[in-house]
Amino acid sequence: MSSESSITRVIVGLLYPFILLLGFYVIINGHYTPGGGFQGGSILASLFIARYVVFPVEDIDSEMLHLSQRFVLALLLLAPTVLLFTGAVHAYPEYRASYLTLMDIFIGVQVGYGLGVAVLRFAFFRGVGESWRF
Amino acid sequence: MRIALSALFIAAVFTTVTVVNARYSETLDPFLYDYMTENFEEDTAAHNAIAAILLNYRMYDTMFEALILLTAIIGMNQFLPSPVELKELSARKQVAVGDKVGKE
Amino acid sequence: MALLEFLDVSDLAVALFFIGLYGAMTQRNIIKTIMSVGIMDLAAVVFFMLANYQPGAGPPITGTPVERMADPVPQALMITAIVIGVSVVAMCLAMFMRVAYRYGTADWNILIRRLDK
Repeated sequence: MSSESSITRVIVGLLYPFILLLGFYVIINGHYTPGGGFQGGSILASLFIARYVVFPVEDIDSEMLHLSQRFVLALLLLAPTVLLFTGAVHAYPEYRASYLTLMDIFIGVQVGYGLGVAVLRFAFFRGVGESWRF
Repeated sequence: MRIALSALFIAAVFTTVTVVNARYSETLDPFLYDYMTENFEEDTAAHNAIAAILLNYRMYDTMFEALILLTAIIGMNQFLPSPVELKELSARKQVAVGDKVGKE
Repeated sequence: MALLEFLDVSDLAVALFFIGLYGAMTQRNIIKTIMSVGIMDLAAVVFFMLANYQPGAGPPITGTPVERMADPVPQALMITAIVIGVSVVAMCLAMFMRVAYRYGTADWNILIRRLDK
């Protein structure tokens, strides 16, 4: 697929906000319907991959993505320790649904950024060695 | 020759496992299934049993599984350097960029 | 056939696992070996999701009656297992890319010959 193909670029550009909306819908409604953090996170990761596939330019800063992924992971490991394991969520029973939604958002964003960083690191690699000889 | 032997070995092990499964089977006590399907809505205010299990009953699994993703990316950082890191490493003479491949 | 009465639906997942094992043992291309390891991971996931199967079961949300809910515990554990499978395959592919660029081949026999030189 050459980078001069403008059909796929236009179509992916049109579909971009709908996929984003679907991803956030699956993440936020994870405690009510089937879905949740991991499923919505994979949908968000497919955005990074699709954007690189139709327009292979290395202008995405993967270091910033990795930094935000680690920050959200730190929040993800900190929130249950403070809220769940000390029994604070059971003391205030009207905030239990908000706790579930908060954890789902953290998991979804972390999985999305993590898988996006993984694929982009594969794509930006320059080989150390001579080219192929079969 | 090696392919035929491997196919024979795999077919033999598969037949053994299938025959053993057909003759002996055991069932576990359905205690966990009964407890989870009846009480998941009072304990956690979730309408989805799987979200209640993953985010309340088995929180440790979810936390450490998020850590596994980070570990995989750190491992890939080691094996797949970006061009900026390659230039930096070759300036410090720790890796030779452009190795010669031995002739076959 | 009388043989089909002895087979269970979970034997399909076991067959998939052994197909993956056969692929890992006999393939000559490195990428196909990595794909076979991925198939073995997913076969184990499929086997666990077939546990405690009841005909006519519904999803484990609050709409379905309690007697007809599917078992939620294996499904919740397999979400974690799928992510672990993805991480293993990603690490394998990263290692393969370094080896392939350094030695210039994707074949096991040629790679071993070039390693010994």
